[in-house]
Amino acid sequence: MNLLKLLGWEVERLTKPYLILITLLVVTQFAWLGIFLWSETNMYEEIRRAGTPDYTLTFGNYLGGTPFILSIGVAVASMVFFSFWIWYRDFQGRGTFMMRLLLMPQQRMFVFSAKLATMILMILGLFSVQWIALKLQYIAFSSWFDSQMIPMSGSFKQAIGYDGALAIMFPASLFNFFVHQALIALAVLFIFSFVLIERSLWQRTVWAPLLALLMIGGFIVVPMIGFFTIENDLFMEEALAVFTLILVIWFIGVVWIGHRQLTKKLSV
Amino acid sequence: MIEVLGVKKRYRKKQVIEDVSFTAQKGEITCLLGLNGTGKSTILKGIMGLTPFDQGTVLVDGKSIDLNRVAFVPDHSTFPIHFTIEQCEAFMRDFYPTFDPKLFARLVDEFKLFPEDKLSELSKGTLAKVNLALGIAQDPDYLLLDEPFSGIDVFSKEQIVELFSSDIMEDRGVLITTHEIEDIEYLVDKAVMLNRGRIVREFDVEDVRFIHGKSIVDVMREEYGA
Amino acid sequence: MKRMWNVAALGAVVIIGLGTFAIDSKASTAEWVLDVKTNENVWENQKIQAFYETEDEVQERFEITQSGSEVTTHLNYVEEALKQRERVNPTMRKFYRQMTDLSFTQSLRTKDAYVGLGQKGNDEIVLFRTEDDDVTTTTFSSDVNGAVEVMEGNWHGIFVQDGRAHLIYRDGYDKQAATKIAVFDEGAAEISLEEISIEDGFISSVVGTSRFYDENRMTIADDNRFLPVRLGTYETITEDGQTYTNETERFGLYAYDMEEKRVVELKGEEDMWDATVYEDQLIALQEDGTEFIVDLKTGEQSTRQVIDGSVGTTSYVGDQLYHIRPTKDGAVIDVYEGGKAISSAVVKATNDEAKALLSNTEYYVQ
Repeated sequence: MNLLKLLGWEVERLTKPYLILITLLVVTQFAWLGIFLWSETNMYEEIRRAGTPDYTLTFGNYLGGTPFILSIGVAVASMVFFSFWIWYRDFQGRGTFMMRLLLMPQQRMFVFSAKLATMILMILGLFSVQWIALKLQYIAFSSWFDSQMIPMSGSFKQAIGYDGALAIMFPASLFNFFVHQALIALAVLFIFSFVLIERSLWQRTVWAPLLALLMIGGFIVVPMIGFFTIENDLFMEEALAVFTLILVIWFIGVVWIGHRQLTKKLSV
Repeated sequence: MIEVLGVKKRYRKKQVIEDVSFTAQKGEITCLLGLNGTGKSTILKGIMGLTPFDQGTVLVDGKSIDLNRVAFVPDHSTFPIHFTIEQCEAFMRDFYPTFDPKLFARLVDEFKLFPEDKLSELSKGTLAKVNLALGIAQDPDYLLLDEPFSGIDVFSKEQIVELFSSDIMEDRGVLITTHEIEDIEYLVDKAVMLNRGRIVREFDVEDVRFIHGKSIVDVMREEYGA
Repeated sequence: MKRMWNVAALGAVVIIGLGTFAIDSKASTAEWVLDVKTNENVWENQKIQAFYETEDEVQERFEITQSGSEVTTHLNYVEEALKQRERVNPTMRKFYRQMTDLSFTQSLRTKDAYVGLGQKGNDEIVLFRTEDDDVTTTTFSSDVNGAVEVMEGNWHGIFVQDGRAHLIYRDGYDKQAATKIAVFDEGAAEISLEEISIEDGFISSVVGTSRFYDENRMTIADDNRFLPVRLGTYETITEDGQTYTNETERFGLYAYDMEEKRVVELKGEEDMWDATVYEDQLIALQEDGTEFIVDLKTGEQSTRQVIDGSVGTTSYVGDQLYHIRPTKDGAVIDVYEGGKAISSAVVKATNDEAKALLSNTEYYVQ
């Protein structure tokens, strides 16, 4: 119950910046859609006046536009930033809220879990908003060009499949979706580990973040180098098994680091 | 009783606390004294687990510390400054099962605080009173206070000192650090004096006053050579 | 409690979004079956691949057997890995691991074994063969006479003759390059080199040699006189005042005569519909449904009528020709061996989802 309450507090504190981000994302994309529809229609009309236009539009043309790609990039960058910020804002001043969190009469890992759950919820929320927005954008796209009698080709699925970043958002199966979410959670956990290590070292010096980066960097890079060295010799199911083992080690490692730093090493 | 046994703490190359042991009884006010940088705040934070000791143990009534029974009031707010006093109380109610809203309401009344005020709008003295109210309303057996009078106005100081002699503080053990010892000297039961991370004197204040005719400040002058 | 409304609202958005995603990611529920009419033995372990594709839709693939069908597109990571595991038997896993360990690897299949050749950096050439359940290797280091020239050359295919592995490669660049054969004597750990003279061209590949994991392998006897090859030719192109040489494929069927040590033409510029080598026979299907056969031991050529009427999709498995003709319910597959029909089967769409895909589905046998 306390974990849920803590989750509620964490989500409440991030609600405003999160809503701003979502609004920015949605407004940018729909504004770009509007501009795209208007400019493509005009261009097609001009070509039609001059002769017989021989090109068709796909939803992929819209998805390949810079504002769309930029909006996705900003969303990703924001989540990375939030993953750092959700800890660092509590260390602002002379310890401030982190002191209060560490003084609570419950397990310190609740703090860790609540922040992780908040980040995962927020990331899933962004995914969801994007899924819904993309569907609406496709409906607007196809209805508009239908009404203007401008030829289009390609389905929604096809356009998504050809787009590298979006293909990750729409994986082939639900199982793959959970795998991707697990990888995203792992990335968040690496950031959490970095923050907790850094905050446990000699604070307010340049060495703390450097050392923390080296430690986490080593923990990520060493197994990856090992994996890429042997990858060529492995069949797909063997590579999958090895990679799964590495993932398990990483998960256990980052949770252990989080627990150790929070319960024994952190200083505010 | 809070027992601090053989604790040590090092910050980079400096041994900040060197083998410190002392006790603080329930129902008494124990004061940690020393010049700036002698490790008083570090000891309090170490007891609360905020700054882990390199060595040593801390026991409360013979067991490891139970944060439901020991409250810490630092010399600054521990809530985001955009929080209102109401929000601080709501947070404490959510996570401290022993938090007493009625006691908090009484303290808010006595300190003349307004729950809808944001922490960022409060003076230093008022902030100190909010801190104290939140700590006491946890209804702890032991209260650790770090420089509660630091930088606050004389009226706020008087209100806080009055609180120490009221029924609210009855039967609670208080461990306090302060430079303004004159304000509460007559309330303190035991003094522990630190110098360069070590305990140099530990004494019963009343005994020293009656037997030797000395105040705590006199003893401090002797010890620190001021 | 009111704080939980934020979490609940976020949770609701996530659930709605997940719903949108789940609808779009629904796997195909189309079902097919393979109904064998005659001679079921031919179809043991055989699978039909069905490919559905239109301009507007994402490709769907199905694997169809006598017991039913399964979707092979949009598999999850584990399913894909397990599917790959199914395709390669344990002995071949060792063989393929050797292939991936080396560069420029090429391999082929004889009657009794698989043989492969590859290079480890510029230090050694590795020859490997399957022997029962094991894989044996022989290494030719750069000290061995001829090894360096072979490692620096352009490899164009391997074959086995008199028990010894041979490699066809080019030594040099463009028109100045010489086509040569390197013979690997595993017992003596020696390489001998000989040059082949080819007029205005070069051997571009040996039929049956593969650079990749290849499930459908031609079996080539190791005592044939004629080695089916493909030829390439040089073209001089001048563009913007610059002259350069371009390499192109020469149409037709050719073979290297190992006795007379020269390349002979088997069939001219005509396009073959499909071709295979099976032990000591080269079999090529022509557009009119006749098979052109060359005895690779004697060089004797013959033809036989196999398919009457128009030729649909065809593939060879061993020396068996699979001929697929689409029908309104799926496809009919006739199997021929030695020019005679030996089996027939029908691929049927068994539910509405599959029937909806029929008009844009193609079928293959591998």
